[in-house]
Amino acid sequence: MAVSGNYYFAIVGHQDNPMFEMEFVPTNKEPKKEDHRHLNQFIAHAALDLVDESMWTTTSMYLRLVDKFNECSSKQVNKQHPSKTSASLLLCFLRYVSAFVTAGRIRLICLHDVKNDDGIKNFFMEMYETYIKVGIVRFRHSICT
Amino acid sequence: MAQCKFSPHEYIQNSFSPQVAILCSEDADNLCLKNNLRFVELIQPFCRLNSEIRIADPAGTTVPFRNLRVVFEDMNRRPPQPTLGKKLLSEVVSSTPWDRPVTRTIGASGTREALELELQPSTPWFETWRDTFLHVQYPSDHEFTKHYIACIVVVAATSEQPVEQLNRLSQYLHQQLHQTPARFPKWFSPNILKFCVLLHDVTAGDLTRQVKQQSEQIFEHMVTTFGSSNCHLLQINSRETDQTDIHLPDPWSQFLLQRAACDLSGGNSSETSSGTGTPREDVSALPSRVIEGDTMDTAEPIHPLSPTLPPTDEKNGTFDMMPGVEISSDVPVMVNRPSLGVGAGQHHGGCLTSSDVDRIRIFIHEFCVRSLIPHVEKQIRYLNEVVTNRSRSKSLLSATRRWLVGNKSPGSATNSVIYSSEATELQTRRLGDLCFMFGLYEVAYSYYHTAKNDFKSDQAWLYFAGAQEMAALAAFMQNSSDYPKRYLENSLQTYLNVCKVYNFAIRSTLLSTEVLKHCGEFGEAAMMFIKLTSEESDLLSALMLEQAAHCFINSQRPLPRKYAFHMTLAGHRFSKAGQRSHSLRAYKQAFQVYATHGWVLAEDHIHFTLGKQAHHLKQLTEGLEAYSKLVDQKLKKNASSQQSPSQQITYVREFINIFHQYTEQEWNASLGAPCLPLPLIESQVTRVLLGAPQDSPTSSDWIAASHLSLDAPPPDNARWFALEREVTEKYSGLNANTFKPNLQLLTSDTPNTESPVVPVNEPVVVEIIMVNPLSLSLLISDVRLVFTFEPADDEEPNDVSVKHSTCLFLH
Repeated sequence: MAVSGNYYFAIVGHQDNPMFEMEFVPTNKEPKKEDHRHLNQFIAHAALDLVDESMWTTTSMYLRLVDKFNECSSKQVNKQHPSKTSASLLLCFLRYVSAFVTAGRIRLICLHDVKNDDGIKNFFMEMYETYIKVGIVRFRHSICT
Repeated sequence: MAQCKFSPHEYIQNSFSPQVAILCSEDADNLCLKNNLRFVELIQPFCRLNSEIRIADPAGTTVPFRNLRVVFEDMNRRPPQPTLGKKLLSEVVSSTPWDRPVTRTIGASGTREALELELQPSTPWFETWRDTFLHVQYPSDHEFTKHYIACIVVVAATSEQPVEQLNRLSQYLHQQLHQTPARFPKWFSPNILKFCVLLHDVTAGDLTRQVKQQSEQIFEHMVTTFGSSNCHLLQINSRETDQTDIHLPDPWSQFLLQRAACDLSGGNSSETSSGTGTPREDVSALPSRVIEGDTMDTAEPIHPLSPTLPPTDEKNGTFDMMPGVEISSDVPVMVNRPSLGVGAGQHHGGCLTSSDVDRIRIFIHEFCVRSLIPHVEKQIRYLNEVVTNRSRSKSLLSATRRWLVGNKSPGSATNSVIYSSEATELQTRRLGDLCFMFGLYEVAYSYYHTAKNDFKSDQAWLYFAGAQEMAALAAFMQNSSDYPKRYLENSLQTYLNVCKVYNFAIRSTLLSTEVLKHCGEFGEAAMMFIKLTSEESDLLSALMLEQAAHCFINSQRPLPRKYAFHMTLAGHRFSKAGQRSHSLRAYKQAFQVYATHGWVLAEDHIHFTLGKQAHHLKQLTEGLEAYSKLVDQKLKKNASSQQSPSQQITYVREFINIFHQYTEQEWNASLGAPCLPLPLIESQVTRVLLGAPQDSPTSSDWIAASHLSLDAPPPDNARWFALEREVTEKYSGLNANTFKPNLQLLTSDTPNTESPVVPVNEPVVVEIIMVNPLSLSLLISDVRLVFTFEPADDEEPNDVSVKHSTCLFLH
């Protein structure tokens, strides 16, 4: 069974702060993944350590796959306490972590469950360019006024 | 992993200590019970030799060995059932005391700034867990490290017929050794060391010289039966009565706690399955000081040698029956008598003087050096000969065996290869185990290597994995810089995937990670720990994840974010395993790394769990703090991710719940009303109107002078103030600079430096703007404006009506 394309994208600043976050959930899944939104953040944050290590090993900005998270469980949501944020009804929660580091050490992290090197690399390049354009806008305004 | 009490070498040595069985007669045990200790417990604090011993390897060279530790167990002890074992492990983890956390600075590296973390330097609960884990394992047939290599028979000199007792015990032992279907207890080989101890009670025995002579006679008889190096006369109980002198040191209590739980649970398991064994209530019914000769006590457990019992089949934890043995019931054998619980007032060793304690120490030393080591050396030489002789005719035997066992398909021969007890491969394994337990690591390695190859060619995978693991450990103990690392990994793989023996995989991980820690390979150790986490056992996974987290933080280049992530996962598993305080601690320590960085969802998850755990542990202040941070939106307004409405509803509900409890139980009323984080109040747009707006009389001719009101358009203060200033200047000739306008409506635009004056009994209206930052609606009711009166310096409020008043607020 093909795993659906769940993606989580975050731009992390210098103080380990998420400057931008975005989740892509395929539309065929019901929005029951409330419980895992925080898990995405945890995985992304933990991967930063490995990003730090591997960014010295290559001169390119795209760091490919830096980390993987795999947790297999088959528990059920506790019916009396649906507020419990525990793993629910999934068999395997697998996330690959790809990273992209800019020259200014801003990190772009992407969590995905299918390996898609080229697609993710292009995505990172586009986001990088957008990020630069957003940053330049401020300069332009302050110069012009 | 965290710092442990023992170094890796010590830990490996402790995990594979030689086991000696104790067979104690009831009279002898009663003597010891004067001290609230059984014989087995009495000798526990002394089972580690401080001096160095020398042992000869098969080639004849003597090798020194330090800190030999011998494990003494009651012969009839059975390891507890798996469910009880799990409960025991759980209890051990929750009851181990912690150290205080220390602050450590993690230097800046990469994109990360320096961090100051408060963390636990050592994890004593993990160490007690792994010790207990090894203690409750069933001895398996593919290895011999948990098999008894000797048996000590203990009789009392002051019993009625000690010689007969001795004979009966010896007979019983002999039967236990030679049962044809080999069941518990597990013996190392059919000819183990038999050692005899005559226990002489000094206070009781010295009363008559006759008794003293009698005990000497008995001792002579023992020497003729067992050999002079295998007997010992131990004198104890020199102190007259059980004086509760609290100045005596009590080295026994630390050993008793664990053993009591283990043995009692072993007894309970048999009780549930067969009806024999000791009911738990008997522990309190047993008198704390047993009078000698009281053998027909009704609280005495029904022992398996009683001829009235029906034969029971031995399963895990029940006892075996000897229907053929004719033993009269007036010489009961002490079997699985529960050790008396470590009560708060219980004092141990009350009848022992320090010379008694020294004698016990000497006894253990003599037993090890005079008796055990020579026996072991002899065994090693004998087995070595057997192995070298048999290996010559090995090819014929092995071919025969292969033909008998049948065809083996790769990977499926997990249990289908069974070796007879005298098989050469097992003898080699025995030899390796014996050498390993007594410090002859180099020869142990060669034997294990041979055994491993034999098992591999026979495709006996469990045996192969065991031998391979021990070979690696022997090489490590011999020379820690050079050892076959892949052996350990391979064994672990085999245990997990081929043989599916989970407990051995756990033990292998515990040992391998110690080895890796010594070599500084923290990353690999962390991977091993993580590999062992599974959904089956929450407590195991929690401990493994926590150790992995410690590996990350202790590695050469610390990885604090990984540490925090794994501590969070560990905290989650701890809470599922019911270990609330550990869960709280893990989450708190993980939170330090996440704090105030803006990962809203992650932080919220941590706060939510912290709040829940604190709530359950009745730490309301902490719980309230955690929940307040959940609903406090001041920090979160600018974060990029937000919680969904359903989560917010949950958080607010929990917050209100705990807030109620907190204010009822812990809030000190004299401090005034507590401060709520919701709703947010915009203090800059607060307005105060002095005097209530009045309805102007309606008349067509007049336009009433309208007072200020809150709803009216903001007055043009500048013009009014200017007018007022001119009037007052003209009237009173005051200086323009000291003019202060008469304010009726105080807002953020007016100069509010002085407190306004309001006549008594005139209303004051305060308008407060509240903002609800959440995406759900909040219903606020019963709002009151509370004020406190501060009198001017020397005035006293003589008017009683100046106190707190209320006003209803409608919005």
